[in-house]
Amino acid sequence: MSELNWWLIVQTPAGVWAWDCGEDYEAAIDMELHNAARVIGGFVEHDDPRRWIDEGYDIQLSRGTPHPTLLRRATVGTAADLAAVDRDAVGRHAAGRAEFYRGQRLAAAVDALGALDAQGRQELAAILNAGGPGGPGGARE
Amino acid sequence: MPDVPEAPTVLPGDIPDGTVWEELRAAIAFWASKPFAQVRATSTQTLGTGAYTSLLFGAEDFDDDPDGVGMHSTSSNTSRATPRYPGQYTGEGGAGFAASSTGLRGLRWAKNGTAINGGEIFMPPTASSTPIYTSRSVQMSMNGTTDYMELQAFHSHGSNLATVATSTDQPHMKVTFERSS
Repeated sequence: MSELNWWLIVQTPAGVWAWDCGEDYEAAIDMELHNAARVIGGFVEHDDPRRWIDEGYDIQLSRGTPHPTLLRRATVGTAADLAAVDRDAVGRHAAGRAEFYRGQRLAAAVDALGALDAQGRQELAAILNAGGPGGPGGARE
Repeated sequence: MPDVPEAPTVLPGDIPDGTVWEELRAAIAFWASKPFAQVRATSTQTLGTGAYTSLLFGAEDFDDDPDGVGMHSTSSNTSRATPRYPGQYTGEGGAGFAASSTGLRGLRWAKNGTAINGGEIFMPPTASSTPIYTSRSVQMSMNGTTDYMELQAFHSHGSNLATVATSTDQPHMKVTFERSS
């Protein structure tokens, strides 16, 4: 095991998992990989870590072989194990997370709207009528 | 694992010999140059959304301890401070994120891959600037062999988001030996 490898670690009330995801960082931060890990661990669908603590969940990406105490407690695997997770289950989990983020963006927009005065609302209406900040066709990421 | 030198005991009537003076010198020298590291990230690090990621530190301002080995490496496990002298260590640090108004930003301390109670912050981001946050200051007991501490960053932006690594905004981690037990 290389000390340059990235490890995805999931801790839930059901147990601890650690996957050796190799040296490629871009591959290790791939959301599909993380969703598969979260499905295996029975992870909650939201991404609010203020609630994770209370609910007993944690997910982290760390470089180098994990501490031996953690490894002894963990079910250890590799990125290949994550790639083999049922795609439908991963897709459902991804959809749940996407819904969480949609709700977050909506809440942020509502907060921002509440801070606008009458002139600001008129200017915002003009922007929306012109197709929104992303121009005609919809919102930008 | 090197020992933390202890000051010798000299009882009334004892005449200190060379060994006693050497032990005293070693104890004073240790506390005058106690283990201390301050490391920085000089390049951005893209962070996935919804997971804590250990920050990598490729540059060292200081990585000093009495026997000259240090607790941090710029080539292997660069996220970790692995103290070699057993004792209590204080961790301090900070990091910034690219501009975005979505979600939360967080920093926390982890020991051996597990989050430290009382070691986490969360802040709402701003869309118009690159927010820089300071971590909590925590004290952790380290065994001087396998224990390591990491500063980890979190965001819930919804897709990848990078840290900021411009001069004074660079992420940093500072670890200081405080006491031997």
